[in-house]
Amino acid sequence: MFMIDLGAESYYSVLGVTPNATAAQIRQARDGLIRELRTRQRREPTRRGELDERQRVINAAGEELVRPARRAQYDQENAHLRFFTVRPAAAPMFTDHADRTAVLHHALRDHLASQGVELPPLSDVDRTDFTADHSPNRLLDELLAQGGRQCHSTK
Amino acid sequence: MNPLRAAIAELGSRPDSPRVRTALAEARFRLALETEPGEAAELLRAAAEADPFQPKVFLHLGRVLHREGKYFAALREYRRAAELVPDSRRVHRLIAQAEQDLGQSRKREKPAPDTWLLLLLDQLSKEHPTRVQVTACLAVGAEHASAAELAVAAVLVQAHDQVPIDVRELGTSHPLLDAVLDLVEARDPDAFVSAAVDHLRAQRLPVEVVCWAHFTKWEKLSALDALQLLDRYPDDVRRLDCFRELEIAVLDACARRAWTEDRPHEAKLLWRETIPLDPHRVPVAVNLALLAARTRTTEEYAPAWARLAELLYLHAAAIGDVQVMLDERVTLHRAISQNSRQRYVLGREQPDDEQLRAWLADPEALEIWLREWDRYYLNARLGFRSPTHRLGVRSPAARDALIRHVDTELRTRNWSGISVFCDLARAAFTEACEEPDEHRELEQGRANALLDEAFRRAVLVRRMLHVLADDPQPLRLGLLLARHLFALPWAVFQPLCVERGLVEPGVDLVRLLEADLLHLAAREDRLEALDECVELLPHRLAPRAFRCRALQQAGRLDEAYEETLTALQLRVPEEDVPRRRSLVVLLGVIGREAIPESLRGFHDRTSLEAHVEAARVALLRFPQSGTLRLHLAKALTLLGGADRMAEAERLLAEGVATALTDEQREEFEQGLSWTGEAAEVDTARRKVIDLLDAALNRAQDAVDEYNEARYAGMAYRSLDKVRQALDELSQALTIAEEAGLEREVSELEKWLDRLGELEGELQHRG
Repeated sequence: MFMIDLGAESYYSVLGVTPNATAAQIRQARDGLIRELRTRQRREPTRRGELDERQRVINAAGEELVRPARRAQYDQENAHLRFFTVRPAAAPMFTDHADRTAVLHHALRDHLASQGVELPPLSDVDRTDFTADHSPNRLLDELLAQGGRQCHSTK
Repeated sequence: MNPLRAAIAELGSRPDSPRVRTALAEARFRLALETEPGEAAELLRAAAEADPFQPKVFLHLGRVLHREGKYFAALREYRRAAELVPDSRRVHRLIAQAEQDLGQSRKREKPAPDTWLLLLLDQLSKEHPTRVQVTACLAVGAEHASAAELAVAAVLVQAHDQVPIDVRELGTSHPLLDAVLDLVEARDPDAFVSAAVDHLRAQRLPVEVVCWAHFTKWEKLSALDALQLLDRYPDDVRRLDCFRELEIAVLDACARRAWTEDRPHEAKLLWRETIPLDPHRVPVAVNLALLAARTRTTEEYAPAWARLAELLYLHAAAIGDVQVMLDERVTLHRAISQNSRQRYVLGREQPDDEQLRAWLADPEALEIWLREWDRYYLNARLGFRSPTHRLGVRSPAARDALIRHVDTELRTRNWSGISVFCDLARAAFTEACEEPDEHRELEQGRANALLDEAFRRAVLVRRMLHVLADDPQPLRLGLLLARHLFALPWAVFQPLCVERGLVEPGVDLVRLLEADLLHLAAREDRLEALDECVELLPHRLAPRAFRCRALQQAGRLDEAYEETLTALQLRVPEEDVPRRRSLVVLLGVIGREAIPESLRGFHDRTSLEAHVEAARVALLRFPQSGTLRLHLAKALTLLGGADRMAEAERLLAEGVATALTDEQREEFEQGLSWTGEAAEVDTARRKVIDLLDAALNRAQDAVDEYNEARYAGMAYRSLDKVRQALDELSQALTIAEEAGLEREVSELEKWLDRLGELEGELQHRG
């Protein structure tokens, strides 16, 4: 039966970093591995060919991942690397700072409002009363006043 | 009627003037401030049109859009307001807020009495807030804000685990903050639960704050302890929606810890526990699917991945918008497809033939690659805002192909809500033919990339079809490949492929791809495979011809005959015209095979008569079998006789009238002329035989009379009869020679000699 292979080798696994690693982390991982390989190449001259090949693979992986455009293309062509990772199933307020801040802020405001404590709006986006933004307009105001009078006389 | 609406109606009826326009703009503006967002946006746009120099109109249009979550659109309006009033602090604050909501970073700003909380929220939204900035915000808040506002800020700071600030040092006191600190500082779980329930029942804290506090404080408990602690809450609390989210969060945190610490079975149990709380949570489905893959559990793998896909489509169907979870679906299908490919092809390189053979030897992996890529492609097309790119090419053919593709790839799935999703997708593709195209340029790069990818896949599939040619039963996999290949409307894409330099201008992409499949089909004799091939290429004659041949070979002559006739009635492309000839030949073979094997040969007149009878029956069954008709006509002429000759002529004349091809008609016409000649010969032969019979009878009478009488006078009488017989023989000989009846000529000459001798004998005796 076909099953996806979570352990398939990728440029990320070659360098021992996650698909979410920053460019700095990738560079650091690559340099560390190369340093280690060079030491081994000196100590194990009989395995020179094998170690050279490994160095070539590491360099290729590093080259691909430290360049943003090439990494983006690699990520697009290897969507499974990011997709096949365990993700939080909890509501974002339990796992994400921004979401938690927003949820708690709204909950606290609503809670206080339910107790009769109205906090000032955070910004225009939260305001509801904008009568101060009305501009006087003679023609319109006259029409509205006439409308009001007519309405009054009808009553 | 609302006075503002009445005023708008009144102003609208007045002659256009700057005074009326500004009044109308103001009326619309005021009405927009008190109406629902959809109408408000329309009113504000109309107001902006009437008076385009009012910054407040753009500011409020931006605000309305901002509240609806349309941050980019809101930013555009805010910026138009800023162009009119570049120094407006109010406008710039809204711009900053929209940018913040879009996740764009902002420059550090000094907090002010009207911005400190906004800036604090911005900082607390980050994973690592700047302590100095948080402190500065709180300092301004402490100076200018109310106790309640400051308490809210303090709780939010407390909720961030990366801000090492003691909120008690703010020196503010508020029941809200006190209740939170009470929870945060609870000594043990029992005390915490007791305090939490008290605060909730006394309405000192909202449930969201209690749930956050619980989660943060008891995150590190073991799974068992964490679950037992949740059980200590009373039922009225546990029924709250937010508490249900807390339960899921606790279970999920424990499950993820178990996953990381290599206890997958525990993780699976914990994630499964969340399903009764929320059966439609996508991340849980993802995690369970990954878990099945990690543990290689055969019986769980397929259901887990199917459930994940089902949920991704179900969410879109439930909301009635194919865009919902679209990115997730695109990534899921693409990821599985890529993973399947990478089992046999490493990296970006094109695979060699050996790799392709190995891949083809794993039909399941191959089918997953093909199927998942198709689903990826459909979702990727749905993701385009430009109707042209959504269809690939804006044409009814492309639309119909996509709708068919959706029906084949998705509607057949046994997933909840999938038919609703398919209807939504169908509507999205149908509407694309009529929508204005505003995003074409913007999405051109992405559309090109998708087409290139589709083309590269087609090339790879084509190479697989070539490699398959060595397979003993190539059509089995060939059809699988071709079904997915032909799901895309290559005829419609051809000009695009030429434009992108993927195909030479003279190359007919569709014919090229079809030819590969037909090459494989030519070697196939299994009917079910050929049925599928006919279904796949209904416009081509070749697969029908292969199918008819297979039916004939299987002895199913009636079906083969009917199918062949149906195939011959099709209007076919130019390259299939020669195939018609082979189908006509096949009809002949079918007719000949309808004669029982024991009667197919003949060695004498009796067996020829039996053969003719069997051929008559066969022709009644298969009247369009031209070869059989010709054969029967020939056999009839062999038998001879006026009736048979007439029958042969009738058969051939019918053949001329009903011929399926010009060639066949010519054959019948030739047969007809040949039968006419044969009929003449037959008549001559009959005459010759009659004359011979008469001559021999007469000669026999003459001999008998002479033998009886034996006198000279009788010899003269007999001689007379013999001479009459000789005349008859001479007449017959002339007819036989004219008709070219060689056998009869030789026979007649023999009798002429013998009767000549008899004549001499009688002369001598007389």
